[in-house]
Amino acid sequence: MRASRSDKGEGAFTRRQLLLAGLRLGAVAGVAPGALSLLLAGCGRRQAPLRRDLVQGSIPIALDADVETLDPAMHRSRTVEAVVRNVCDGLVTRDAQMEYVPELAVSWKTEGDTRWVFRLREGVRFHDGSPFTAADVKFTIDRIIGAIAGLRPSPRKDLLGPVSGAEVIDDHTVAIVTDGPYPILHKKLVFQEICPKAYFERVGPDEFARKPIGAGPFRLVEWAPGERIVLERFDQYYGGSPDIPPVGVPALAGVIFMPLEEAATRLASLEAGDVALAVSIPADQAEVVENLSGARLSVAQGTRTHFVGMNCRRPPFSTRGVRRAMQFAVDPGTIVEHYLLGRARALPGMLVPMAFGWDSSLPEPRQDARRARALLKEAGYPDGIDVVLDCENSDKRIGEAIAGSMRATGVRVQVRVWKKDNLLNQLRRQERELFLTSWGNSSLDPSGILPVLFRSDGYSNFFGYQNPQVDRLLDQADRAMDPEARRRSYVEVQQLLHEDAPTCFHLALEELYGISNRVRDFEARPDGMLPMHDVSLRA
Amino acid sequence: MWSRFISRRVLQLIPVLLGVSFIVFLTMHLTPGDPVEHMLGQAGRVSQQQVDELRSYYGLDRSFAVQYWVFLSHAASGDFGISYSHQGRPVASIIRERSPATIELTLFAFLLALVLAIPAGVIASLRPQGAFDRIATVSALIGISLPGFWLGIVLMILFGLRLHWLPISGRIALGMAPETITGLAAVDALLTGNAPAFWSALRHLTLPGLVLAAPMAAMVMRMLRSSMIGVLEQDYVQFARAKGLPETMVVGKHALRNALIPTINIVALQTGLLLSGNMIIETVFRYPGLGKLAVDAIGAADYPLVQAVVLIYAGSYVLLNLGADILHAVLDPTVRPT
Repeated sequence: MRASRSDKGEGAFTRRQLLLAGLRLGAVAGVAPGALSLLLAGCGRRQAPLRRDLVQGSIPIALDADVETLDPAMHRSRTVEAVVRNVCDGLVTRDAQMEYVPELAVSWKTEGDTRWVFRLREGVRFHDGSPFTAADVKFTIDRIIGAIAGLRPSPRKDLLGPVSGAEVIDDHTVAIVTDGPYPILHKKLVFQEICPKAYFERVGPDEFARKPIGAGPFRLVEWAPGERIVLERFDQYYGGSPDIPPVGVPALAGVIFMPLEEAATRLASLEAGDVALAVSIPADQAEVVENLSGARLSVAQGTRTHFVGMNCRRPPFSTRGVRRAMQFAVDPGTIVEHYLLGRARALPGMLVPMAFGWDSSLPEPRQDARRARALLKEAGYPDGIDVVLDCENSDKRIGEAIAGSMRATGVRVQVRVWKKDNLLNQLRRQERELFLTSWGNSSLDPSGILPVLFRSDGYSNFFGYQNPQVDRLLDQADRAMDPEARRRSYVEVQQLLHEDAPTCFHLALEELYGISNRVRDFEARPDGMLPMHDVSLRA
Repeated sequence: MWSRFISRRVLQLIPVLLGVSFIVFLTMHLTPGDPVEHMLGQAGRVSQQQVDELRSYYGLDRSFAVQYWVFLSHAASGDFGISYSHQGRPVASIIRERSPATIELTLFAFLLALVLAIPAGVIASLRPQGAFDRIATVSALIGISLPGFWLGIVLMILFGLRLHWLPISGRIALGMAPETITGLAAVDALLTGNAPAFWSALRHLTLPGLVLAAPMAAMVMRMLRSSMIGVLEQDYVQFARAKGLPETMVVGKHALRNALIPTINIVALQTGLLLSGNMIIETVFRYPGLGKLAVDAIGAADYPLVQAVVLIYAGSYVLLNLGADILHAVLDPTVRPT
């Protein structure tokens, strides 16, 4: 009998049994995860602590998103770009006014419509001391466009449009070749940073993603994922673009980026002095920052357009009159004023005013309830329409404000909220009738937004919008090497879009940064970049 | 008999992990949201060809069954594949970076729970319905009932933002990190004799550790209290008192030892629950461990990363339960394997 055997002798607990029990518990709770740790972590990777003087001389910056890689060619994240831009310079960059200036390139010229020759800066060194040459430019371009076999495809390929390759002419001259005219190549190159070929080939893609080096003003010291990225001044830095003075090594000892996704945490850290710069301050917290004694608010006009889109293939929006009515149904002024506390700008169309080719002749958007009702009646909806507005979580407030503002005009809107990716998927399949979404266009060139969304075969044509004339004008602009001709095409496209009205409400939020009074020479930028080269800290 | 018992239980791990992996795989695939869409963000003039290229590179163009089979056959050899959201970095290396933080937090919460629960449970049992017992019971009720995310935020506001006593996020103050030996910041600080770093790591562990430990401390305290009350009424305890032993000896040596036996099982089971608490607590406190990694990976539809983290959690949970069963068997001969 199983139970009876043990009744007498083993029923009571001896000291040894308890000890054993304790030990086993210890083994389970302590040693098992410990062993897992050893198994996973290995014990070989020793890392030295950060130097005190580096920490003290660095600017701590609160980012609003985590960084998942530091490989300049393997991300689609503005946060990664803002960090990496301090480590790796590119051929071309932008100054604070968003003007394009040469960086690692000295100058460029076009040979014919499809060949761009870049003269490269001499005497530039990467962080490992090796010289920067045309081979590195070719390698960088080839890797992004997928011309190097055996490497992962880069999600930045489309940012180089029709670029088909690069040719080394000599150590300091390189030609970039495109498949067809590509008038905005130099503008698009600001999104690509030059990677050192030899170092990449030595360490491989995985190590490069964790420890990239470049020819930028700061070199990477430490990346503790989810915690911080620490950069240190690169003393052999060539000085940066001569068009953005001062030229020379950075004044800061280093930069420390910390991902603080919660806005409240960023704000609290700024208030406590733990960070000297906090990005993405929500509009309703702007006043809090303005009232801080040790920090100030820095404002830049954003480059992302929020818009309400309509599906031109589904009723009621398949009727142009209904879409036109929608343009008069919403009151952007009230929404900007009351819901966004003035921290946004209502736009007449998809482009922001500082974008190339902005059409200033479009009428300012305003609500006209009578006109909206009349247009609806004309289109066969005398009693108004009942529709659902789909938006993602982060836009819910704006969505509800839009719904509220339309009520008086016979457009009865119910707001439905989605997770960002889910909504984007449905929009790409043109499955939603009325939606609020947004499109970033930090290139400030219409080619980054108009063809993508409004060309008949645009990958992100959420509207089912088709207008052969628009297609033709967009193609013309794509190929026109003459900026004035491009501008004219884009102006015409904006006017056609205003008449066809696949979209009815546009606004651009301001970029709000909290900056400590210790920080000198930094202001919020429309492109969201955080160049720390010229920044210094007061003692 | 022990070896058979243990090996049988370890073998049971296989179907459990298979089942878990299948459910996770299926759920991830049924959830709307495409990893490639996520990877490309709102990529401007992306062509269908570029999307197809990425999809085929990550094997997403294959059927569900093939994808699952590829995952299984690689996972069997310890290869969890490459992460989508971390742009193709190996999952194993990402997990390697993040696991020490979670292990440290879990161990800290485990110790904290015991340090709080055992004395509280004993003292409460000495005067049932007394003032301390009532306070402890109410605290335990609060500890069990309050959701971690809420308690976490309240403690952050109180101790971090209002009183400025404790840091509200991260593992250690900037620039304080000790030399990495085990990856556990507090342990490394001790090993290198770095007192300020140890203090900083401890302060960073306090709030998340406390929130994570709260339900476990409450459960263990309640269990220990009731089993102590039972034990204290036993004849042998009365006998020990009659012998004239000091009360500390009676309680600490004769009663507590026996009362601990049922408690130890609760401890082992609750330790398993610490793992699930991790996901929420790490997200709230922005603590850079596996839990936060998993939450972020789910948001990014990063199937391989979610799979790997969930399997590690499931495996640890099963092993902890196995540990609890073995303990139970050691302590209670009636359930011992023969």
